[in-house]
Amino acid sequence: MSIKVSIHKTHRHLTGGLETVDVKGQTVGDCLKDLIERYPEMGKVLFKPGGKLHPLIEIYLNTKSTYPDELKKPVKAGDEIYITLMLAGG
Amino acid sequence: MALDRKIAYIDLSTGKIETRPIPIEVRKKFLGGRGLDAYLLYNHAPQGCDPLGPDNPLMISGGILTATCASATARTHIMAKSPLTGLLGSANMGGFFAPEMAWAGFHHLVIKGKAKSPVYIWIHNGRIEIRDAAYLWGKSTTETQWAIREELGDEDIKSAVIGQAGEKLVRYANVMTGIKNAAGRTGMGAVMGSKNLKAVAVRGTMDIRIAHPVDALEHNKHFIDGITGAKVNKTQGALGTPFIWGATNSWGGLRNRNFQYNQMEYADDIEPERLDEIATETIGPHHMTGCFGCQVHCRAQYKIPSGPYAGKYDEGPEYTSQGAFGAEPDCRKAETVLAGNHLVNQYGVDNLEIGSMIAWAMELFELGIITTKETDGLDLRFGNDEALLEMVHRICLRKGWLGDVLAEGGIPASEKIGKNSFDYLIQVKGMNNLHSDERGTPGLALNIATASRGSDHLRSRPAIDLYHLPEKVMRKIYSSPVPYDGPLSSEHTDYEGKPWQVFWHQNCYMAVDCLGICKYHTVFLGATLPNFEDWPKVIYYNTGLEFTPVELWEIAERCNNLERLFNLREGLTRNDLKKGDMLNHRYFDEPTRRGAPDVVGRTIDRQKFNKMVDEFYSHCGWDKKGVPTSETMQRLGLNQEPSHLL
Repeated sequence: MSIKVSIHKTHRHLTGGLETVDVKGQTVGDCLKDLIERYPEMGKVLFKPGGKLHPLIEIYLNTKSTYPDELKKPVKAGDEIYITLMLAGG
Repeated sequence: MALDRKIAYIDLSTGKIETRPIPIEVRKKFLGGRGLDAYLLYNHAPQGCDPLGPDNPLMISGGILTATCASATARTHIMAKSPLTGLLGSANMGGFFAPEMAWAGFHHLVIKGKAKSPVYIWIHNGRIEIRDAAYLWGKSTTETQWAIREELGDEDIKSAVIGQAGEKLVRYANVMTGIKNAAGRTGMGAVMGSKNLKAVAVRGTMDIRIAHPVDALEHNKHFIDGITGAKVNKTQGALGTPFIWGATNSWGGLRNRNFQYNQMEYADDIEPERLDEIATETIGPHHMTGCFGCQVHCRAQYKIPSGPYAGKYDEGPEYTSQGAFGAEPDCRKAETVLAGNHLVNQYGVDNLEIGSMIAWAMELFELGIITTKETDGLDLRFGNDEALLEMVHRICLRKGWLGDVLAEGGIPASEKIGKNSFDYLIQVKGMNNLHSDERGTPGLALNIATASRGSDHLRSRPAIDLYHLPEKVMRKIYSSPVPYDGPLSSEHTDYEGKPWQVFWHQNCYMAVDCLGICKYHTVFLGATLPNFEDWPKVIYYNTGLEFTPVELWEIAERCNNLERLFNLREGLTRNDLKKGDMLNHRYFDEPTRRGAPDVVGRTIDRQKFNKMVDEFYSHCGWDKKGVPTSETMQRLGLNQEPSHLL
C-alpha cells in the first residue's frame, strides 16, 4: 500500500528535490525505513547514531503528531506522513 | 482573589506612594501584564519625554493569571519609553518575582521620578517602603539580591535588580531576577539606573482566592499533560533553548560574522550536546531547572570548566548566548559562550544586543572603519575570544572610547563612528536582531521589521512556520478564533499568507503577555500547544472573568494598537531605517552565502516585502502609513485614549 511522505524543504536536496515520496509499510517506522532505503542521506537527518528518532524531528500522520512511540504508529493506504522540523524557540 | 491585586504609584522624587484597586472595566479591556502596562505607558509618559529622565514612567507587572492555579505564570513584564530606541520599551522575564509580587498584594507598579541617591523599593504584604541602596551600588545582579535578603533577614525575598550596566546607563541594560532571568530588551535596566533605583524587592504571604479552585486544578492537570506530552518540550527540557542550534546552523539560519554569513563553521564545541555535557560534568545529571509553575525546565545550570572564568557558576546559556558569543563574533569555544553568558548575567546587560554590537564593531574593524586607535589597542578581529570578553567589560563599565560609544546603542554609536558604519548595523527601530538570518524566511523577516519593540523574535514571529506542518493543521490554527480563508503556505520560503501569520502571532503573543504565562507553554513553540481556544477557561476558573476566544483576540488587538499609537506618537514612520518598519539594506542586497539549497543565494525581495507590509497593515486595521484607521480606533474603543482611568 502506498503512503505519501512530505519532505521538509531543508531536506529536499537529499531526495533529489522531491517534495513528496511514495513509500510502503505497515507503520510510520516501516515507511521511514523505506524512504531511507531509497534516499540513504535522509537517515542522517531523521535518526541519531543510536537509531532513535532525532529529538528535533516530529512526525505528523495526516493532521496528528505521532509522538510518543512515533515509529510504531500504524498507517494505512492513502495516509500522509509529514516530516516536521522543530526549529522554533530562542 | 487574583483581581484584588492592586496597582501602586511610587514617586521616587517625592517619596509619595499611592495604591489603588484596578477597576474591573480596565481589566476587561487590557487584562494585565504587558497590555495594561501599554495602557499605563500611553497615559503616563509625556510625549517626547527623555527616556532617562524622571518623567519616564517605569511599569513592573505580573499578568492576570500570575500566581494562580494556572501553570507557567512566572513572567514579569517591564515597560517604559526605551532609552535604546526612543520608542516602546518592553521586556519580559521568567523566574519567581511576579508571583511573589502578587502574593505581596500587587500586580502593577508605576514608578516615576528620580531618587536623590541610590534606593531600592521594598514591598511586603501590602506595604511599600523606599530604602537606602547606597551600599548596593556597584554590586552585581546576584550580589545585590543576596545582600537584600541578608539585610532584611529573609531568604525567600525575590528581587528585580540592575547590575553595573544599569547603573552606568548602558542603553540596553537588563532588569534581572535570580541568576539569569532577564528582562533583557530595550534597556529597561538603564531606566531603573536613571532613577537611582537599584532594585525592587518583594515578599508576600497574602492569599490569592481562586474563583473556581476545583475546576482550575482539574483543568491545569489537562494543561500539564498537554505540555509534558509535547515532543518539543521533552527536547527543550533536556537541552534547553540551545536545542535548535544544530539544525538551524546546518540549514543556514544563523547570523555569522555580523551579517556576512548565515552559517557558522567549526561550531562543534558550542553544539547543545556539548553544552549539556559540560553541565552534566560540572553540576550533575539533574542540571535542568525551571521557573515558577513550570513543567518544561528549559534552564541548565553549569560551571565554566576552563579558562580565566573557570569554576564560575551560572545558568543557561540560552540559544541567544550561543549566537551572541559564538556565531556572531565567530568564536568557537564553549568556554567563551559560557563566560560571555556569565558576564552579561552579572553586569545585567542584554546578551542579544551586546553580542550584535560587538560583532558589528568587529566587522567595522576588519573593514578599517575603526582601528586600534578607537579600540585602545584591542585587536577586534572576528574569532578573537579574549577581545570579545574584554569588550563586554568595557561596554558594561563604559571603559575606553569604544566601550562608551557602544554602550550608547547602535544608532548613536554609528553617528559617532561615522563613515558608512550604519550600513553594517543589523537593527530595526534602533534595536539589534537576534542572531538569526531571515533572508530565507520572508515571514520571519516581516516579523522583525514590524515588531513593536524593534527587531525581535518574541513579538510576532510565526516560529512554527519553519516546521513544515500539514496545511490542514496550519489552517486549523490560523483560522481561529477569527475566520481566515486567505492563502497559507507551510513553505517557509514563500511570501504568500505570511502577513496573516505574523498578524495572528502578534495577537497571540500579546494575549500571552497579558496573561503572564511563558511562551514555551503556547503555540509559539509547537502546533499542539495551547492558544486562544484554551485560555478563556483558564481565566474563568482562576479569576471568574468570562471571555470568548474572540474577545481575547480583540483585547490583544487593542493592546497592540496602543503600542502602535505610542510608537507613532514618538516618531515611528513606515520606511524610516532608524525608526520604522524597515530592514537593513543587506537583507535586500546581499544574498546568503551558505546553507541548504533552499536558503543559499537568497535575499528578501523588496517589492514583495513592501507588499507583505501593506497586507500586514491591512490585517491590523492600519492605513498604508501604518497608522490605525479611525474605524479601527472606534472598533477597539481607543478613540478616547489617553483616558486616564488609572
